Amino acid sequence: MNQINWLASYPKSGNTWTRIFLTNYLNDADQPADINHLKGGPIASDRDLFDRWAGVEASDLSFDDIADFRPHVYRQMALHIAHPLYIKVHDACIRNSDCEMLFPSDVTSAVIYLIRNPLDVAVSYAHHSGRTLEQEVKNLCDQDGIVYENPKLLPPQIPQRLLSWSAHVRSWVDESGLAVTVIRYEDMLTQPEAAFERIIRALKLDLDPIRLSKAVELSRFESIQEQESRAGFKERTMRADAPFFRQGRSGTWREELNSELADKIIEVNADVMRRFGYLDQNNDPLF
Amino acid sequence: MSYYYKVFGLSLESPIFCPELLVDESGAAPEIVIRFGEVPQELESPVDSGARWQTSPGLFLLNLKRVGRFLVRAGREIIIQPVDPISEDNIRTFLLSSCLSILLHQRKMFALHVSGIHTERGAVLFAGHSGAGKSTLVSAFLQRGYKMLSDDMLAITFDENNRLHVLPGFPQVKLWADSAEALGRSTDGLRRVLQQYDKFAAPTYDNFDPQPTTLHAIYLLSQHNSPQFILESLGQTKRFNGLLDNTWQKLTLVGLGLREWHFMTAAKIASQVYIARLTRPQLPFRLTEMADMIEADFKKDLQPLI
Repeated sequence: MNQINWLASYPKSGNTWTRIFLTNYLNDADQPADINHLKGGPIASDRDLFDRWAGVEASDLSFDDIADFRPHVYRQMALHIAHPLYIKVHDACIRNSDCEMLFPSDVTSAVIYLIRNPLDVAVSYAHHSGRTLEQEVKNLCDQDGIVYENPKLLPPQIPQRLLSWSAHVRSWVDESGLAVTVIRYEDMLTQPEAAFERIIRALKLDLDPIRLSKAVELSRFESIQEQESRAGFKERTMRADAPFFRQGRSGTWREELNSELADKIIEVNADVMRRFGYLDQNNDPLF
Repeated sequence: MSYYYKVFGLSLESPIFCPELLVDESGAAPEIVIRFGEVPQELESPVDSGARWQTSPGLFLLNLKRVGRFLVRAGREIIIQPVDPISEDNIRTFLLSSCLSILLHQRKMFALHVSGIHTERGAVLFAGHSGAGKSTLVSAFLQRGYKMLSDDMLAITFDENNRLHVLPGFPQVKLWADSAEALGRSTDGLRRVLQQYDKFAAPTYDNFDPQPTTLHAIYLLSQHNSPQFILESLGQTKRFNGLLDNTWQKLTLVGLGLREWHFMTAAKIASQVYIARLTRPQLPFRLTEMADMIEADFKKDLQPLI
């Protein structure tokens, strides 16, 4: 029953790109995978997924009740679906009021944790959500950070707690009790073959170097952008002020984030940023 | 103290006051009895279980930590052991949705997860996951003078001559604040369904018609992030899958011993009913355009695709 592979990350940290690569690798085709039919979806917080497997509707439940249901929802999926599952998730890995992890170890096969420089995350997330940089920076630094939803309407996803960026990282990497493989977004950019090879190995898939190279080539950022501009991408929100696949670079925060906001992110998240190579010993950014 | 109501054509006795249900003044013996009583933590020999439920033929147990335990038995009885203290509002939420739908299935009344209206040609139903627009569309059609069948559950039965009947639910819609706004309707004085959400229960007594009717069309609502509306009549297999997908509590039907009945009934409905998929832009919710498009469609003489 241990067949769920969690593709976990703070939002805008390379999760969708990883799913594109994974789909290309599993498809083993000569044409790029359709970005509107990717493995790894729907996201773990998808409302319809919850309603289907919980047997009651999330919109009739309090936030605490929803969190209590979640491990059972994933167990139901694991019980009824025979093949390995790859599930994207943005929630922090936290416990519910029954003291159970939302993402239970008894149905988990592997966790890929994708991490990205939070300075770049702030910029990317602001373009994606249509909110201001100030709001995104505040959320990245907030111990009670959430995926923002408009309370006046029923959002397509159930409530997701992110915590602060650092606490999100630690919740998965240090506190989940799960076997976690950490992949840096910046390494996926500079050494894609090595980064994706680690992902293939962590997911216990057969490693075929030719297939790996082909999947990396088919998952090039330019090819994905071209697909989005031609056919659209269903996971882009209509609130976004830019394409979903916007730049695919590191260090763009230097062009868009003022020093006050950058300092705020560093001040709150310095320990974890240093640990994963985003700051040097003097807390100066390395990307 | 007991209260007597009529829902899905059945008479019901309840120890809980249910303002959303129509009162039954006929004095008829109740076909469904709801009562408070002891409900076990688990069934003795469950055949199947899910996130917080267990089933065996004729029995369904739902265990909600903050609300209570519910036992639905043999299509006739619902026993509730509430967590104390808890508001009756909260109990009714699950009683009048999940529990009632299981009871209908146990009576071999097909509980569809749809909203719907009466039209001159028969029932027009709207299906789709939470947030697809089921309640908002019904409310929009009530404003256009149509009578309501249901907000989110209807029962379908066949009589001895194999004629299909749609049995209406009860006169209430649940609306989110944004939908109320789109409908130009104030939420002042409406009951909030849960404290954490801007979701309100609105009574619709004046616009409700409890008479059974025939079935004219079902629209499966979905969304995409393009600006176009797409309306597409579905073939037999997609109609069948659409009905399976939009069955209340479909995961429980195996353990209840109703899987074969579920498939056979869905196939029977799919063979004779027009079902279309309407895909709308995610944002903004262009309600009037959507209702116009659907109204123009259901006014036609619709036939299911061969």
